[in-house]
Order: sequence, then C-alpha cells, then structure tokens
Amino acid sequence: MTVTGDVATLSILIEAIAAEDEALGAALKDKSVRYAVNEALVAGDTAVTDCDEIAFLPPVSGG
Amino acid sequence: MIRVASEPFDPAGELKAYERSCETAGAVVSFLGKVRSGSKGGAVTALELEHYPGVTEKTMAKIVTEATARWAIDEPLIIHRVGRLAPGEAIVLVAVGAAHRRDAFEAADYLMDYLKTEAMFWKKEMREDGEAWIEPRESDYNDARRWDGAKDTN
Repeated sequence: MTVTGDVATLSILIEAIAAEDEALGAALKDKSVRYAVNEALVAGDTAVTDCDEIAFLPPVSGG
Repeated sequence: MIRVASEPFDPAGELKAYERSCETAGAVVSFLGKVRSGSKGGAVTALELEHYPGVTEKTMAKIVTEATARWAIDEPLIIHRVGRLAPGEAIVLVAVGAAHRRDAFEAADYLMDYLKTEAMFWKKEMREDGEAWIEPRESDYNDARRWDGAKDTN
C-alpha cells in the first residue's frame, strides 16, 4: 500500500490508511492500539515524515 | 539487570547468581512465570513470544526505574523469554533484593503487574485446536491500577 498526500501527523496517516483499507484502518483506530515513532511511544497527533519508523502496537501480553 | 532471552535460561542458576550480587540485602523475593500446559481452548502445545527489539527493553527499563524510585530495593533482575516456548518452560524471572522483605515483596509484585500491561511483549498460544493471541485480562489492568496513587514508600 502506498499512502500519498500531505501526511503530517500519525492521525492523518491512520486516516489515509483507512481510506485505502477500511478493515486495517478500523484495526489501527482501536483504542487499545498504541503508537511508536522511532522507537518512542507517542500520541496520535505526533508529527511524522517519510523517514520515520512507525509502529502500531496491539495490546501487550508479557509476563 | 534486564535481559530479553531468545534461548531457555536456568531460573535457579540465575537466582543464585542474583542473590550473591545482593550482598547487603536481607531479603530476596523472586517470581517465576511458566508456560501453562492447558488453557480454556484446550491443551497448549507451545507459546510464541514476540517483542519489539529496542522498544521492549526501553519499556522494561522504565518499569524498573519507577520501582527503584518507589521502594528501597537493589537493582532488580528481570529475564524475559522470547521465541517458541514449550509447556513448563520459564517465561519470566523477576527477583528483587532489599534490606527488608516488604519492599522486596511489593516491588516484585509491581514489576510483574507492569510487565504484563506495559512491557512490549506479545504472546500467541499454540493449541491442539488452533492458535490465539493472548490479550491482558481486565484483572491484569486492575492489578496494575492498584499502584496508582499509593505512594507510600515504606
């Protein structure tokens, strides 16, 4: 999947993904999903660029 | 000491080494988490543990920093497995040395609660009838919430 356009923040990226793939978008918008940009946990309004490593993290289950 | 282990480890040997390193501790509390041989979905044949290298260690370090600030304890030991584990194998070992037992008990309990709800690990149970990702139970979140606001350090 290629997301084009003005993707300035994580929230905008998620919307862009949702426009391409509804099911994936819904999964990413689940309240339990957390985000990491360049290996740091962040909120949804974080700025992102083409060069960032972005991770969508489902509920953890360690221990 | 935080370690993400991709190979089986020897809990007894690790605990012995940690005990020796806590020279001034009057108490060492430890917890060992193991792979269950059965769950609601039937017999468990294996457990697959994934992590996010780099981020997992950071989330573990944060939990340790918080525990160390909160209780009078020595640097805790946490070893957490990743990869494919067989029933009965050790998943996680937490050990905490302290001058007195209460700090050691509480810090070990706290570390486990937050390892379950904050550290970046994902478990998949391989069962005879299929496979399933494990999510934390509501009780796990409630366990972690017990520590909110309870700032008593003694």
